[in-house]
Amino acid sequence: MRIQPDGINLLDTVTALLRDQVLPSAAADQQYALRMALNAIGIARRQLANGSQAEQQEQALMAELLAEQGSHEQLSRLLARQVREGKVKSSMPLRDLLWQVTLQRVRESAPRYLKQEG
Amino acid sequence: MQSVEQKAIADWLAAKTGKPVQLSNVRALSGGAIQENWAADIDLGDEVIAAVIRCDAPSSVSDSLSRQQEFALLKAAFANGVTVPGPLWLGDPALLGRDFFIMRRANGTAAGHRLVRDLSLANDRPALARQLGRELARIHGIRPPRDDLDFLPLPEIHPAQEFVDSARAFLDQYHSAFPALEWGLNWLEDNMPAQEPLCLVHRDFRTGNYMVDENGLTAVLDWEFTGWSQPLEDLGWLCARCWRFGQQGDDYAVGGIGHRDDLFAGYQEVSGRKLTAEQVYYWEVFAHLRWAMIAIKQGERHLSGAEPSLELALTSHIVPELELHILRMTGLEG
Repeated sequence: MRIQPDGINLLDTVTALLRDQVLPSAAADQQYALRMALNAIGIARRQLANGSQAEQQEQALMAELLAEQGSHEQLSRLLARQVREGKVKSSMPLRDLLWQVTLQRVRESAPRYLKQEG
Repeated sequence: MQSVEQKAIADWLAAKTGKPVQLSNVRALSGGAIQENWAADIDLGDEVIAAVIRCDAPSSVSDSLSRQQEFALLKAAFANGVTVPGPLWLGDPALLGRDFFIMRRANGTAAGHRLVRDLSLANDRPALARQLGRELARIHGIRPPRDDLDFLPLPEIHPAQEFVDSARAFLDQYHSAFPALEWGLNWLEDNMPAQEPLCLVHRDFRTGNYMVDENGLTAVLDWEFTGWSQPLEDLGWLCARCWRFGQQGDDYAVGGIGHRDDLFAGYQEVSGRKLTAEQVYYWEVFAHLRWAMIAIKQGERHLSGAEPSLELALTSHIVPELELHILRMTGLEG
């Protein structure tokens, strides 16, 4: 059993420290570095919180819709090939799959986009 | 810059100009990863020139243009009335052990995040958008063939098709697949406008790459990706959502600072050509695809261990929102 606080709690605490105590008094070029660090911690935290569940669900859905077995990477490659061959354009389930896997990447890497664009 | 290098440049300029030359206030300017820029005041006895010495970085490994080529482009742009730092002297590489040239130093700042929010800079924003349109039209007035620019390769096929082909070739050998980018590349192929005559295209004309002071535009910078292409490529790059620095809505569609109508009006003033948002839309989608491909390659520089950098690492994480926006712009939404 790991000791508490866990990794997510530590990242949240680091975020609050950097944002509230270090950033306001940092010099301009340091502020840029700090904002990058906060952005990176946010991505890492969201990935940690999500675990591998979303990726496993995606893998299962791709396997089902593409009627193939394989790793997430292999199935993504297959989906990419089917897009290029024009097979996704006419298939509502595959279109929806493409949207969902892309949306999931944005949720982890750039949730601000979803706030701005709805 | 070491004082021995400063002295070498001063002596070389003295021989060139026949005047007693002194360099002072030499200091490093922030620049790209590929170049190293130094501000210097060059005293020619009868005149003091505020200058920038632009050198290759010692570790330069890049397929962008050389300093010599960039200097030729600055001269061509300057001669056609584009607001660029006046090109002064192409350096002798033997002096610094690397390529360099000297140009005039423009006033103001290029920082995009600051410009979009700080209205004390270029405070007449419609005028700035019109000015950007005029600048682009002047750049696009430069057409091949040009002996002085013969180092720029002429595309053999439609420049957009060339991009699609090279992006697919890259993705085929890359370790990760990008299904949403494949979707976008197909859209670019299916919706490609008829090719028009080639012209000089800056290819990185966006907020962050031009300088402004309190009165307006002072310099168009960063010519290292310039080539022969389609004029609307530059307009799409400047208007694309990904280069608005967080500003939203049509009033900020032009690089986070202005409305397309003003940009197009300035463009028409110089070129006589009336543009529509519909024509530019294709090239905004193109811009997202092109930026996504560049972002993947920049992220890979970190990922491969070649150049560990948080900035490069985070550039990879821009790709998903570009992908989602491409899907939106091209009619795929869940």
